[in-house]
Amino acid sequence: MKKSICYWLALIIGLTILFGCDAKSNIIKLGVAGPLTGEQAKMGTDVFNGVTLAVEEWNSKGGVLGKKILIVARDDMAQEHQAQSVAKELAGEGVIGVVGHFNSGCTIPASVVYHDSNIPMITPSSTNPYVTDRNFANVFRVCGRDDQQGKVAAEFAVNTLKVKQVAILHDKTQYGQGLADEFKKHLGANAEVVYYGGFPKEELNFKPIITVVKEANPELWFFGGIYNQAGPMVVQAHEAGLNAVFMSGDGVIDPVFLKVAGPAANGSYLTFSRDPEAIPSAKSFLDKYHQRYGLHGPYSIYAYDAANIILSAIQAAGTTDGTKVAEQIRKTVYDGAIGKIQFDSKGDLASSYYIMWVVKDGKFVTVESK
Amino acid sequence: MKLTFGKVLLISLWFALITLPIVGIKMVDSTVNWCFGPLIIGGLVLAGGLIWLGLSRWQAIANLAKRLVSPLSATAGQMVKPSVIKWETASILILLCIIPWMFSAKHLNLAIDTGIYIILALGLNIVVGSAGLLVLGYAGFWAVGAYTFALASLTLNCPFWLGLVIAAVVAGLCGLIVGLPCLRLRGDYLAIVTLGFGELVRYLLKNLPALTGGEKGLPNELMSGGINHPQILGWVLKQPIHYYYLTLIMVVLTVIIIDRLNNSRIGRAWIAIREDEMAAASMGINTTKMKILAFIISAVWAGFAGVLYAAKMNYITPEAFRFEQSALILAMVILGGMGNTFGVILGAMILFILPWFIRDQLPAFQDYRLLIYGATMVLMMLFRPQGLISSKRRQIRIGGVAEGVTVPAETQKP
Amino acid sequence: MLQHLVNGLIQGGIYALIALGYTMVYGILGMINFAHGEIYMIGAYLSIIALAVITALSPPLAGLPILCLFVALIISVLFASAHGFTVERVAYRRLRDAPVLSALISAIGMSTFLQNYIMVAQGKENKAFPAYFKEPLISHPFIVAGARITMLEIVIIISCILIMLGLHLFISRTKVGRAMRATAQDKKMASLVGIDINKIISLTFIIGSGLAAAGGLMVSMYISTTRFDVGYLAGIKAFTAAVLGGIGNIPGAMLGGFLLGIVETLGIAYISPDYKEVYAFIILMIVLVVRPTGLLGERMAEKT
Repeated sequence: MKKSICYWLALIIGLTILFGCDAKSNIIKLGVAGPLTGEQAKMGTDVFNGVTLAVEEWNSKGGVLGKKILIVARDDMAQEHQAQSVAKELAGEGVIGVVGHFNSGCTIPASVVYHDSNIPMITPSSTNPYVTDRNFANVFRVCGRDDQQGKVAAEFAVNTLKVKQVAILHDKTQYGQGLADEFKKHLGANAEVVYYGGFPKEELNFKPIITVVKEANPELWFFGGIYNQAGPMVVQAHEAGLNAVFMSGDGVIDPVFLKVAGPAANGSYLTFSRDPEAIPSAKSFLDKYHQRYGLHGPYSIYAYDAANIILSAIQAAGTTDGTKVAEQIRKTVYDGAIGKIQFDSKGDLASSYYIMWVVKDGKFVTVESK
Repeated sequence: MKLTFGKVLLISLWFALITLPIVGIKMVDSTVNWCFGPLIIGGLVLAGGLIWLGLSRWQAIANLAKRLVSPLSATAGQMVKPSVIKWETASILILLCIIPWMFSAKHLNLAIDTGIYIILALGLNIVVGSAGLLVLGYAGFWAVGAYTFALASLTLNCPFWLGLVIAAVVAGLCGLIVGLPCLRLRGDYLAIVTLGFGELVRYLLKNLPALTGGEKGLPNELMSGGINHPQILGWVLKQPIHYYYLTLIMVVLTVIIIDRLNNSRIGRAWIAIREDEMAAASMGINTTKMKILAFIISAVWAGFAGVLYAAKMNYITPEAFRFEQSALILAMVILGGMGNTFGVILGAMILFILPWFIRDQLPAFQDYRLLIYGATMVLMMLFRPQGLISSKRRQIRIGGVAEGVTVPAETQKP
Repeated sequence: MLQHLVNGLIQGGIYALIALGYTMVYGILGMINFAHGEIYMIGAYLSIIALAVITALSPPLAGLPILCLFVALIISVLFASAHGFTVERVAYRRLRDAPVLSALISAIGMSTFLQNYIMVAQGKENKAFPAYFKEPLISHPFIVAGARITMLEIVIIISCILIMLGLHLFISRTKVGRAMRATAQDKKMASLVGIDINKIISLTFIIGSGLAAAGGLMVSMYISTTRFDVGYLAGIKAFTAAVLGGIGNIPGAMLGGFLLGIVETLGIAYISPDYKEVYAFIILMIVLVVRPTGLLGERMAEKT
């Protein structure tokens, strides 16, 4: 009997020691959170790679405040509840800032945790208005907002494409449905919405719903969602003979969309911000990224800038205190790879703009440059 | 089947062959790159096989493993006894009370989550382990509990303790509704109907945004505010450390209640039903009533866990209650040893902490996390199908040894 | 309407192909093979890989797309069957006499393992089905009563039906089929009359995996893509279909699959796409409560 007690005590104490001791004082931790597994795993990996490049640059220059930076990556699987647990874990790890999360649906619950723990976070990609509309002092984003995006898309559809009948689909996520709703709102009375519906974000067989859309006979169909569904959706629509113009948002700008959709993608309109390839300051980042990881994802560069902003704010503030770092982030104009970055009082970009992109000969090109 | 060197070689060649297209070919745009992956896999299998061959000739290791496991079984044997809390149990409890002060915040959080899963696994163990009914949609009841409390809290400002009662009643009712028709069916059908129930609950929660917030979860823009934290005489328990103790108390209460239950008339009736339903019925046990009772109690426990989860997370979404969660909880029960309270706790700890450990301590294995997790589950079942700590009653039945004597599990033949 | 029916038949045919694997294994071993959905996904990947290899290695062969599809089908079925066989040998055989629940957990573990094995080996993003190979099948659609039906759709429906007929004949007419039925009824008695149980069980896994792989190829061709996590949902749906028809019953799985596919598709079209998953489970619950053995499940009831 005594043996078994010793056994249990040893087990518990051993586990405690195993888990409890990781105090390393000469490093600071930067959190990265996004979907690293699951159906949107690629997007999370893009973000992670971007942050890795930024952190490696800082570390090769000697780190920040004389300490090396350690990336703590956490996988939220693009699931909202995971995002919240992951946020609690990152807060428990004592990270000094977070780049993430990727999906709006994940960023919203996670940002509550970061707000409570006073950790500055910059999302590279969550465009849902609600992310910053709560006026949290610690929440920033280096991308635009869906209300701006939906407006640009709707105006383009009505004014340039002059469509009258529109079908709207979405993936029922905060991002997808939010964007679809903004698009619908900004269409107003200028066009008739002949079909509106959503489906789960895991779905890959869209033939049934495309048949319904086709029967509604729209001139344009809008999809609020992510590239991994848009790709097969566009091909299947092409096969089913749906000839309406396809339009979507920033979630679809990804090389994998083109790869899966093939020639069927040509003529698709997408809203996104500036083209990094056309920005001189982005060149060195892109070269480095291509050399190391291959093709850059749409948000790699934003993740890179987000990490740099947090780290340089810490350097400038001379402290890792969350409140001071957030203040510093808010008041600096940062010269990033993507261009000048300045935040407004909400934490949105002070000057962000969406432009129309179109797929032409299997490539994303901006509409102006056509 | 005796393993020889030739067989090991053949098996490793076979693995190299079948993984050839998937591991050996990388598609980059339209070109195809070949790589050495299958050879590595073949080599790994070969090495594993050779080690296995070596080990099977060297009994010492096997004996060592036996010696390591036997104290586990021994304590488990004592824990099952309907006895007052012994001083050794008490010492473990005291240790558990002191430990959080040595933890950092992330470990505290992990400990609370593990505690919630322990409650769930123990709840499921009532119906799966004791009564022998397979339930595949346990997360559905958990979701019912969590959403009931979250909605009551957000709309009616219902306090935690009342929420505990309401959620338990609602989850129990769901158990009754699902259980009644199923229990006239054979055992397998209960599994399938509960699987359907679990998925149905999740999809309904997802598709009724006006009521449940849909994918956005609770709370959201429309139903803002926070889910109520528990209060004791105006003292709000909202720090992680409070939740740690709350969870600990709930786990201990669960263990005590289940222990009492297992050794009562009801518990013995369940075990009789599990072992032989017809014989149980002929002994005068009302099998249908007992089965429904087990099912309802189990559902009620899921309701408790749901309330605790909703309050602790302060945010819930339907995606938190996927089929994977049901499978995970079931795996905890079976891995730990069906019907054995201590085993189930150990199973829950291992299955919850293992993926976390891989992610936290071995970040290079991030992508391999679930791969290792799945392989562990398979290996565990292959080499210890009765679970880490097998139920004592079962041992007596199989081994034919007098009560009170525990047999190291390896000595039995399955 | 016709278009919806065609969509439903295709979806249903695929569900049925996967459901057959579930139902056969359940009939013989009495366990739910959760890894079966992953075999279907592996089949889809294998076909895409095979086509990529054909394109890269043998341009003249690539000039005959239909032949290439056949080659891809054969490769995919062969390797997927090998995977199914291995899964059974590794994860289930030792557990045959253990409690059913242990085998179930092993299956769940195997499912996680296989899914992540593909993710690690082949990457996380969608894989495109090379459009070139299916071009001849979709380039000249028939217009019938307002519906636009491609050759591909007809081919998929017909091959699903042919495969199932073939399986049915195999099970009901051949000697091996009879041995399989005997094993399903009573393993011990079957072994007494000289049937090698191990071989029959391996064969069951091989056939089931082959059918799933064929389904995988057809789906990836039909929806032009596949991803490492498609097996899970397809598996759950196919399993639902198997239960709907009466689990353990082969014609039942076919019926259940088609029914499920058609109901889902019509539900999307005429009610709302939001509830797509709900239709399947509501039907399942109703059928189980009203007719517990499934639509064609008499045989199971006798087995008790």
